[in-house]
Amino acid sequence: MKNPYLTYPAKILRIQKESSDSNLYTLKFEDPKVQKAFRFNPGQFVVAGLVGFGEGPFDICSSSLETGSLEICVRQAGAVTKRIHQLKIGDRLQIRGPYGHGFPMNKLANRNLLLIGGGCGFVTMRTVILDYLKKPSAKQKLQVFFGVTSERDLLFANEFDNWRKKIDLYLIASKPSAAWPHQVGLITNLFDKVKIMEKVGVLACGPPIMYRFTLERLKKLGIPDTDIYLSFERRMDCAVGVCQHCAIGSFYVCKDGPVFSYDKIKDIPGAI
Amino acid sequence: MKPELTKLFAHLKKDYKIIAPVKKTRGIFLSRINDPKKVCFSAELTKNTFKEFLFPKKQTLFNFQGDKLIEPANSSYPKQAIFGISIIDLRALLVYEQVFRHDPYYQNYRNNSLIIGYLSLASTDQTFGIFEERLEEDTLEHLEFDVFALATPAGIHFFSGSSKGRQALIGAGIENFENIEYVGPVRESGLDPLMMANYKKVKNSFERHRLVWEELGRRCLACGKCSLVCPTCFCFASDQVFGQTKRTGRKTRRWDTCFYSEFSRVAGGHKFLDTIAKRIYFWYEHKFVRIPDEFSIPGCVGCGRCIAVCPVAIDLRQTLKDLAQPPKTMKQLVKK
Repeated sequence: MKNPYLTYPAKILRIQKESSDSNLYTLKFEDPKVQKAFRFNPGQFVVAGLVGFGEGPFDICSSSLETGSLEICVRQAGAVTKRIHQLKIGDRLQIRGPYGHGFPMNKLANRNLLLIGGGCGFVTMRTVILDYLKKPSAKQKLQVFFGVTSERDLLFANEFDNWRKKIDLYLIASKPSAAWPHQVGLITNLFDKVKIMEKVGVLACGPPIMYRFTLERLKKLGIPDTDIYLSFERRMDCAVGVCQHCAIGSFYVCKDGPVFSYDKIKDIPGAI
Repeated sequence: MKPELTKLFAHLKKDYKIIAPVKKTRGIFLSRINDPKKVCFSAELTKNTFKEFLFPKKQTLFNFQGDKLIEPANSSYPKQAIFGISIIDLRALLVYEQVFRHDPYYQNYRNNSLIIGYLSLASTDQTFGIFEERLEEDTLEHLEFDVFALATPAGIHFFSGSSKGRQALIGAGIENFENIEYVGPVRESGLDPLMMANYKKVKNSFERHRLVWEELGRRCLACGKCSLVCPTCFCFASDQVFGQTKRTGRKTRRWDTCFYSEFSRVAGGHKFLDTIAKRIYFWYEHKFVRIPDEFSIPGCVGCGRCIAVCPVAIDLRQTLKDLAQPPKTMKQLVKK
């Protein structure tokens, strides 16, 4: 019987400091067979950790078209991530997954997309962006909102110039320094500044409070609930829909999510 | 003791550790026994359940040496015959069989275990009015067990529910038994009507019946006793434990309970279930909504153990009654 809790060692090929508390790790499974079999959809996650320390869920943020390696962005937030931040190139992480369902990219293939990422929730948007850059479509345009507290929290900033060649990227910070050249305010303020494209599909990932206010704005724009996809964060242990930690109503964030269309979860108390 | 059961126990003892109901000062407990004479045949509900034998309070998922993960050897799973499981608890076992279908650890315990259900026709109905323990014509074919023993005034009537069960009975020299073919957990007549009625009461009721949940949240101590004794509670958390020598240790999992405040805590400290009211609702939601949605079977089997152990007398039956009433407003409560 396949053991769903078995992890596979992956070597750290590259570490890129992204923000004051987050690093981007490029990983490759040591076993070429495992690497070859590893395929994921944008929005899916892996469980990564260290033997003897623990593990946790991390959104994959590399392109899903890249098969030789994968990337996760790790924010130092607890004991396990603190230990991961001490690792060096050549060290190993233990990985299992990918898990859950990502964004329905096939369904959205010919739709314009509005990507909304708040803080470290932005991580999962990078997969959608990188996939689009690799395989741009004449039938699809991307508008991307990235909201942070200050410039210290920006992720992937050295990639923005490249992204801007093909996508519209809007940055906003609520408490930036005086030198911040972009918009100041909350991510929802961008709706006052930017004309949202017609008939967009919306992909969002961020804290619950961001969802509450963003959903209000999306409703005003008349975007149907079925076109809004939200990625959720919850405590996870098993990642296969058994341990109950990540349950929302009758769904599990690990198994049925982490991405849910808004219509599916809007009536569930406490979901957002 | 009934002679047929003496034969069965004598045979099982050769291959299995025997776990059976034993009378202790605080009630009847499923316990490991060496002497079959100690078995209590009253068929009363045991204080503890099968779950600690199939899903131990703490178990090793992997031993590790450096980065290498080693699964526990098959020999570390005991060969055990668990006797005396009531129909109510067999219904709870159904939940485990569904939930842990793809879990190699549970399956290892289950494959090494012989499940022996037991009902005495002389015993009184012990359910708490939530579900019935009555043995009907089609009851057994919707339960998963290896052997079922029905004590009647004429003697013990045996049923086998698996090839493992048949072998055990034949090995014990018991030839006169009925084969029951498991046909799945749901009856032909459709979903359990009581399950559906309770489902409607609980589903999305947190806002609708806010006062009921807040009142329960005020009373509940979040001690987690109900989830410890509940035969359908199975949530768990995993830990890493270091060994005595360098770079060795174990990855373990242990029972958890959704009543504890850490249950929903994510890195950074946010707790999604930040009040006891939310957590007690989460518990009811799991039993009465989530399990029925996932597996089409009740997540509460009506054993009443949670009612018996609650230190503040929270009674699930009353909660279900309250949820069936039109929601009360603050005004109505003040008048009262």
